[in-house]
Amino acid sequence: MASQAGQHLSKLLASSFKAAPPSSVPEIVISKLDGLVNWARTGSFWPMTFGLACCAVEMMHGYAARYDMDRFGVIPRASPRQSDCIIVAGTLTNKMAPALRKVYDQMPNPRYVISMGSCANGGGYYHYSYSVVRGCDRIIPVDVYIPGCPPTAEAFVYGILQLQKKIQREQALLTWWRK
Amino acid sequence: MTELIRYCRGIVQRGLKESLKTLYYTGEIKYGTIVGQDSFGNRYYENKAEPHGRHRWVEYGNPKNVDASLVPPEWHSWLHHISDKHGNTQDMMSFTPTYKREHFQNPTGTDAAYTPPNYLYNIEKQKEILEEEKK
Repeated sequence: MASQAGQHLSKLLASSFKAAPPSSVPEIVISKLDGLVNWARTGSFWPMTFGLACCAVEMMHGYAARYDMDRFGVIPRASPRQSDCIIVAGTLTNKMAPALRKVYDQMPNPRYVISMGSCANGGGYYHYSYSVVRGCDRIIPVDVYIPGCPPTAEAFVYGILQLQKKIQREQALLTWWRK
Repeated sequence: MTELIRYCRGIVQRGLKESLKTLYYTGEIKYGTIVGQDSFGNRYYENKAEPHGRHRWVEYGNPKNVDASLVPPEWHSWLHHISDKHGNTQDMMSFTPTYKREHFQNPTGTDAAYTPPNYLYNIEKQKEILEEEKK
């Protein structure tokens, strides 16, 4: 580590999750702005509901009175053009795959994907079926995988919170400034 | 009115500074008997006067790091109304089989997260590659 002694781990390894801390005054200001942007994004997180099967029922439980995702600012939207994230809940069939890709392409940046349930994660029970896509990550890039068949509403809430944590780690402006 | 009394009792229980902190991080001040505390510093409360289903709750030791996986298995069954035996009772603590390891938070999104050993983004492997390149 002789020549790279002063460098942070994240500058050496693309795989490290630890963000390099801001080092100068403009970097500190920009990282605070990043924090503001991330706060706004996590505080009003509008998912595009892509309910395909029984997982969608658990997703509805998450939105309903008991778990009440509205308190996290999560309001399901019917239009991809108004949403920040897409929740693929259920079995993605070959017939539905082009529709999923179209819906994803219509979403404005930044966009996130939550894959919910075994079927969306990797085909699940229908992995060897002739008509099912073996995981929705073959069609669109996935941020958070929620395991379960179907996942409970609690698991769904936990997945949303994990995605919020992921968004809070983002340093879009700081990366742009450093480049 | 009852809501106000509830808040006041919460403030009396905690003291002003602690209640402001709780209000800031959780958005709510509840009061109740402290049932216990675990190794992470999480405090567990119970108040039977609360609506059913909300009468047991946890206040995390570090309010900036809130995660459901911080609740250790001794307390999980009590908190989720599976059992009335809470984490400090003797028959919960004495369950220590040889294969039991220390409880830790879900490492997803940290460098401690598992990746397959030959995966491109495995951090240990990346470190090894760096070491080799230096030689």
